Amino acid sequence: MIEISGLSMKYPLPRRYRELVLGPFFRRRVKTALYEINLSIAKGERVGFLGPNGAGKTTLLKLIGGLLLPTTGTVCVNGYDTMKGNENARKSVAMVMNEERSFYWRLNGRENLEFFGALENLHGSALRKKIDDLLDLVGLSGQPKTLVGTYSSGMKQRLALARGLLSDPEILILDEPTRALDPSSALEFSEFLVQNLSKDMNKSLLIATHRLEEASTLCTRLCILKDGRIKADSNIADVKRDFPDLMDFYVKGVK
Amino acid sequence: MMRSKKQNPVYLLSLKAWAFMKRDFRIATSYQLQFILTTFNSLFILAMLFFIGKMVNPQTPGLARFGGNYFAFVLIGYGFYQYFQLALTSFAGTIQSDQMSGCLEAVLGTQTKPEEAILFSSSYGMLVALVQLLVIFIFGSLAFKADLSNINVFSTLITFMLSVMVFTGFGILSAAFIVVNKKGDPLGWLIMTLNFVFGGAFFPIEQMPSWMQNIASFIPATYALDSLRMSIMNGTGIVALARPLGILSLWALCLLPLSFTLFRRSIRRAKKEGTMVLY
Repeated sequence: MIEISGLSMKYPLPRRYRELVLGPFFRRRVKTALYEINLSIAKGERVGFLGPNGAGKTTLLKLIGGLLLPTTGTVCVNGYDTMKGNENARKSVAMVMNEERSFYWRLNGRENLEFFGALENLHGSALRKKIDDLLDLVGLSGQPKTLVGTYSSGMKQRLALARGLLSDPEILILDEPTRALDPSSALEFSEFLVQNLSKDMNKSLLIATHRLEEASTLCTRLCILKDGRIKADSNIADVKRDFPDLMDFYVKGVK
Repeated sequence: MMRSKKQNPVYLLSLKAWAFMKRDFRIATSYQLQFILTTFNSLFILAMLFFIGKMVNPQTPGLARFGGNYFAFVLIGYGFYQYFQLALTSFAGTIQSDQMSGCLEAVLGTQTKPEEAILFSSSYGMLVALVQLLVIFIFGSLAFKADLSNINVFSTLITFMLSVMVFTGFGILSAAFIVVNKKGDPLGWLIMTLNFVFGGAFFPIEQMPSWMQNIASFIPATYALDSLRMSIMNGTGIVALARPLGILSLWALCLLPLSFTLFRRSIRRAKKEGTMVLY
């Protein structure tokens, strides 16, 4: 379903005035975020990406989601290369980023979903029904008139999940999905992801997280990234067998 | 096999355009005073132009061919220039505001092409500006007796549509620049300044020295405003306006495909450099 081979991502750094004056034609300095990543993810897998800040987790997820294009290598989603067939590749993927600032704050949750739904080619009564169902599902149906600007971080996170599910994607990418949720909501949310989305609907979930506990309950496979490289990649059963304390797996991975 | 209405690409596109308009209408109405203040501002400027017009000699070169009526001349110049300016700046403005609100990546992550998103993102603003333009014209003719009774509606509409296409092309070019360079858009600034100075919005270009008139002959605003004045003030038909309309069509034919291509490339570059969310 997802095939990543030889993937590298380099971000050009902005030039300083000194560089512009002394070497206007020199190549821009770059920061390498990912080095030669090779990864294969099958349908229905729940893959957790762990690693310290700046390890390249979000960059990798955005590359899979087609929001970034690789410097070298390829990312193929459902047979479509994100470089050559970006639109087709994106059709089966939805991103649920932890950015609070990705909604129109002067609109309420329903109006935001109506807008993004239309951009996903949904309309009319089908869209309205879908929005009703999703708002119910994420527990926001009681806030029909509340502007998103006044939502709490947790509510925005739920709304982001609802938006991600609008297009009924096969692959759902979640960046720190429970970061802004209280413990009981986080647990409920995790159960929903595993039971409803993964087991019932057979969606693939790619989750970047810092919480080891969450990774172990949510995921069937764990990848540890550090400095742009995959340091460990194991299925959860093997990890639990070899490392009774998950922290040991993480520490070994990021060493 | 025939496509059903719900799968028809034109139908889907019109729904997307409608979604953008609805979004912007909802946001705009949450700032209730903005529309009223902008319209009032224009009306005060019109009043000022009316009194300035009283000092202008009707025999001024370039003005005589429009019946020597400076106020009607400047009413059309000012009204349409404002509209073209909006077409020029609103695309880049929308990109900037979506970058700052963090919504650009979310919009471009959907099944909507970048060129559709940019085109529809300004449709509400342009519709509102059209209403403001009509208010200005109604106010100008009722309060200050600007004579617009000779209008040739057909040639006015054709000229207007062609001009909007040209300035939309410039506007999308400017937005492409903003996607890559974030702030400081010298292209937009240059186009706006050239069209403002040389386009003849406030004075006939015949007033300028010949070297400036030569520059003006390369500026689309010159042809747009001149044809609009001819259609509205003199009732000139499209046959008589064939040359300026041909030049505007040429500009539109070159600019629109070029601007969409460059905009698509700018998005691709931002995706490669990871700068889409930066501003």
